[in-house]
Amino acid sequence: MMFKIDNELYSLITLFIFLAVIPQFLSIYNVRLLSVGLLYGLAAVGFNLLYGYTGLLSFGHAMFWSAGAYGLAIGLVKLNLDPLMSILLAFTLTFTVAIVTGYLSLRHTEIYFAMLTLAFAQLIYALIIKLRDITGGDEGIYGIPRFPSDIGGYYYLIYIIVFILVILAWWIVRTPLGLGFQAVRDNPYRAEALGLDVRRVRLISFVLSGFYLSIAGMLYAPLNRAITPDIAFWTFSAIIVIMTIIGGSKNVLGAFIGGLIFIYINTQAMNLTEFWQLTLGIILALLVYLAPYGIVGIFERVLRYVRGG
Amino acid sequence: MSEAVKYVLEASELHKWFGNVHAVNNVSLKLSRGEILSIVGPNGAGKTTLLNLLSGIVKPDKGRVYVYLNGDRKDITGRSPYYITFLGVGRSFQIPNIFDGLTVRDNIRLSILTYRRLINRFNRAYSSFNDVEEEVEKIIEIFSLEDSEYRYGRELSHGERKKLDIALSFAQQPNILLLDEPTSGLTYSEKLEMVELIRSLRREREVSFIVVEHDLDVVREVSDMLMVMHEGSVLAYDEPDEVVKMSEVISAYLGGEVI
Ligand SMILES: Nc1ncnc2c1ncn2[C@@H]1O[C@H](COP(=O)(O)OP(=O)(O)O)[C@@H](O)[C@H]1O
Ligand SMILES: [Mg+2]
Repeated sequence: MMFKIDNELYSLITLFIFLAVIPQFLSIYNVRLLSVGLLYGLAAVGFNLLYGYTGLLSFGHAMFWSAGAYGLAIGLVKLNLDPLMSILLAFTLTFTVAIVTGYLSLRHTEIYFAMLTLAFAQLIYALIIKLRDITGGDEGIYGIPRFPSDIGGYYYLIYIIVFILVILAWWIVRTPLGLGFQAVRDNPYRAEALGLDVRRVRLISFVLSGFYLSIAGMLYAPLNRAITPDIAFWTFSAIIVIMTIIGGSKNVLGAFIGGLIFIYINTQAMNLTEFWQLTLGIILALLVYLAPYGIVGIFERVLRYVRGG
Repeated sequence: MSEAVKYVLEASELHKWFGNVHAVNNVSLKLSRGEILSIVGPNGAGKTTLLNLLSGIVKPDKGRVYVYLNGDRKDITGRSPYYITFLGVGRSFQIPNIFDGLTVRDNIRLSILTYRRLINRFNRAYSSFNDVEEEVEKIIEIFSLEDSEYRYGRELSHGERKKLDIALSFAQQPNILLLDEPTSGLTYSEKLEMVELIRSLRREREVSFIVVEHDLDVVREVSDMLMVMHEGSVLAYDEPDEVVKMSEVISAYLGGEVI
């Protein structure tokens, strides 16, 4: 009785039906782009468990995407492990990074937390550059095997995993734990006074969020067949924040849409102007001022207006 | 009745300084089962700080706090709010302290789920809500929140926020409730409702109360004991009628602000 199908779930499922059919009409190039869109969507949804639902702004989530991508690539290419062991390696790496950085950075909140996560992520970036033997340094890792090897088939592997994890996120935020996330976001002092272990709830959210990013990274490495350290650089952390805010941090749907469309905004705008980063900054500032709930928020407002609410 | 059965909470010679401000100066009290103790005093008298010391939100610089559990006196000085809450001491806040992004119903659910330690039991994610549903209904009924149960915290009126704040604490089945100005900012009829609520909670669940209160009518209506504070110190601590007899002395001292 508790998990009633609501409008958000309807919208998500409609969107996923569309995403199942659309590749049939797209070029390989665009299927590939859409695959990245799905992974960005997954990343934004994961990031938003921490940001929109638990109220913590991490500026270092690239480290989890990289932990997944590098963990898998190192396993497959450098250590010649089988896929299962490589996935296990990537998860172990992610878990270690999440627990250690989470434990250390969650002593603080707000801007201090953001700065600490940024610092840890840059530390990991530096490690990737330094540990050349394992990570390939600046050059990264090439020749990562993909299964299924054709982009069309691989798209559906990504699709299934992203679908499951996005619906899972929709469900998680409606469980008692999800209620706990939101209570910590709204009023950590009151939550503590009621006996909620606020630090533990934050850590759970942080680790969970990290795993979402890590899985997205793990799927990204074979899609691209190669990874380079820029996926660990702070600008990628910023992109994760930006796409979530663009889509809307209020719910799972908003974050997912933000990630999904970001890759298109990015490629279009890069074609249009050399001042892309400046343009992005302006778009973001406008959004934060005019539409604090992102694109989904605008859409909801229009709907309400049309219905005469 | 033996001491241990009779009493539920005790504070002995509590002190708290904030810089040079002696916010709480040598305050002792003993609260009996089912007793309503009211605390009055002008702004800055140290009333809120005293409640913070009792509920663990602020640590005392000197003095001890005890709760009585199954006949044993347990020292809880310096323990976390989290721990003290689980020993049955609930509290509400002067500025209503609720979860704005959750509905009234989810606010109450959260409180009960936390108390029952069901928040991060993944294996029970489905059944947990069902387990607490009956209790949630009961709390909504006791606090007459039926009309607002699906509204978000941020959409509530001041009076509703006050009620929900107390409901959040009461949902955790406390033996002791510390209420910080539960009637401030309420309309006359809301005040009457609040008084009735406090009385019924005491009557039906034997809850003991410490109530910080400005409205003297409310104080005389509900209290068994009355404490007057000023600049951190206790000026009087007795039955309300006795305190009122002294009231001239006190009001002279306080410039007529309180009594
Ligand atoms: N966290 C704090 N930091 C510094 N001073 C405080 C703090 N809390 C209370 N005080 C001071 O302690 C005194 C008592 O405050 P308070 O307990 O809020 O009084 P009351 O609730 O009776 O109005 C006041 O002078 C107040 O400024
Ligand atoms: Mg006060």
